[in-house]
Amino acid sequence: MRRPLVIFAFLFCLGIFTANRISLSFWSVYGLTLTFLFLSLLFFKKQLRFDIFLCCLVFLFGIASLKNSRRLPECHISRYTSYKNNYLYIIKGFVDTQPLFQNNRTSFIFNAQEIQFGNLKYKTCGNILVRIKDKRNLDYGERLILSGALYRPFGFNGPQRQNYRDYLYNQGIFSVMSVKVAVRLNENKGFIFRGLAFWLRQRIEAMISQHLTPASASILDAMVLGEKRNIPPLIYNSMIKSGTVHILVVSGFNVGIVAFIIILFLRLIRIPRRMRFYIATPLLILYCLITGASTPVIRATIMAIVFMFAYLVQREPDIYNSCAVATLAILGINPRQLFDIGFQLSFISVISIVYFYPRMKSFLRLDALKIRYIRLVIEGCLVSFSAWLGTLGFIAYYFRIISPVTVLANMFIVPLASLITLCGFSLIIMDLTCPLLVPFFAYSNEFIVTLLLRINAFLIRLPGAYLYLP
Amino acid sequence: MLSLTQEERKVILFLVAVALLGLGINFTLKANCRLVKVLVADERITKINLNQASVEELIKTLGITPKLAEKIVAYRNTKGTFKDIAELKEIKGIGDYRYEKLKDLFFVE
Repeated sequence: MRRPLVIFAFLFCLGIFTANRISLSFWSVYGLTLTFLFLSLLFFKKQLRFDIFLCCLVFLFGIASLKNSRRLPECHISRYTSYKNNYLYIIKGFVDTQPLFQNNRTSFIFNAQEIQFGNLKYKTCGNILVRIKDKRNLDYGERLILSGALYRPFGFNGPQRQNYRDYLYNQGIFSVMSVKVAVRLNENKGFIFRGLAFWLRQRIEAMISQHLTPASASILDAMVLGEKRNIPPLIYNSMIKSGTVHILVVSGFNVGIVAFIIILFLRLIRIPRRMRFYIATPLLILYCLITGASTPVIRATIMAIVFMFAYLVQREPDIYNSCAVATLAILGINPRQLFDIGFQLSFISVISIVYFYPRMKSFLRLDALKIRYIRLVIEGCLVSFSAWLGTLGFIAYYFRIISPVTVLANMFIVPLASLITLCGFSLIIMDLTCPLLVPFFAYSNEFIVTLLLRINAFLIRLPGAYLYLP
Repeated sequence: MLSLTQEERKVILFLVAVALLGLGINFTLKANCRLVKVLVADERITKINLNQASVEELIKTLGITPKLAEKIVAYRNTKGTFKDIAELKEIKGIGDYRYEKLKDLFFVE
């Protein structure tokens, strides 16, 4: 099978990685890129030369993209801030994410449009991370005037290689504001579709916390909505130690379940194949927004859409190509994502599963195994082992921890997590369609979550389950 | 190496060329905000700058009588410049109804 997109995605990533190491100016890279574009046009009919020039062009495009993303506009909000000063800034703009209440303060991303300090007022742009003391009932898209201290995020070098400031920079946030006064302007500038997603998220969160105990609700929130803020630190740390923390995010599996439910429902009501694709695509995007559009979910959503599209046009779907499309789409919008841990782990785990799993399966001649259930268990182990193998180096580098128990833990935890996710979606659907049955589903959820936590606690107590690196 | 067909090559080159042009424009705009006027079709193309419009220009605008145009220019000369479109309401002859009609025709810079 031809996979030109994989080559392009690889070269684009390589370009971004190289740009981080070299100090060429944007315009010199841009000039080189234009030269290779011209050469590609010139040798359009010469197969090999065209391919080489096109590859160079994509590589240079990667470099130029990162250089461009590092250049901030002249009016960017970060140009008005230093690490710490005592100015009182007044900023006009709108709330760009759903406000979160945690540690007795409300925080959200704020899209700044106008800044005032002293008597000087300027038009500005860019996002800031806003923190307000106490709980505030603010909504996505709401226009506000905020006043308070504005400063650049601090580094906080922890055990991880990437610090908090780098993380925020990769998300496009260069300033933090501690707000003293927030004034509402009673206008809304948000996108309706995104607003709808946040509203649905709130409803589902409320629904889950209504039926489950706080600990179980926090686990289910993480698995169904990607909301990790309520997970007790003890549980979170124990899952890091057992290498199963990946189940606490919304991943391709969840997107797959949502796509399956949507397609199944549409098939039941006899919607034609083409129409099913047109209906399922916006619904998957809506789910992506509900879960906060984190990198793994965006990757999984794009891959699911590419897969469905392949079936629609009756072409054989290829997981490498769909992964390449997802890479190019995410990095095309924000090349800095290449340096984000979530991005790296998400892609490397998918690629290593796709690469190692079939090879290991054929090496062990699993297809010859007659007993189906044993085969399924071994296959599950192999998937888990493939993902662990791929991510091992990254986890050791960033988190300074190696968890040999991961392979064993994933054997039990992953099937249970899949079951919890399925039960979680069933709970939500039941609450909407048949509220009388909800308590039964809630009890099942509660039991499986408890089982998962107990197995996890047992596994990390095994000798040599995990070890911290110096 | 890539085994692309002629059509695929054309499409890829077109997409890369367009993306490259966009990248260059994006960087230029970040480096120099003033070039927005030249490179982007923003409100300046579809609206009139209230602080620079002459009486003749205002008269040509839908819904403004010569008398009102003179009042607007007189107000501007007295006040210096408009800081906000809403200041139009302070001019005699522009009530809420007329303001709603006029506010989308102008911008203030």
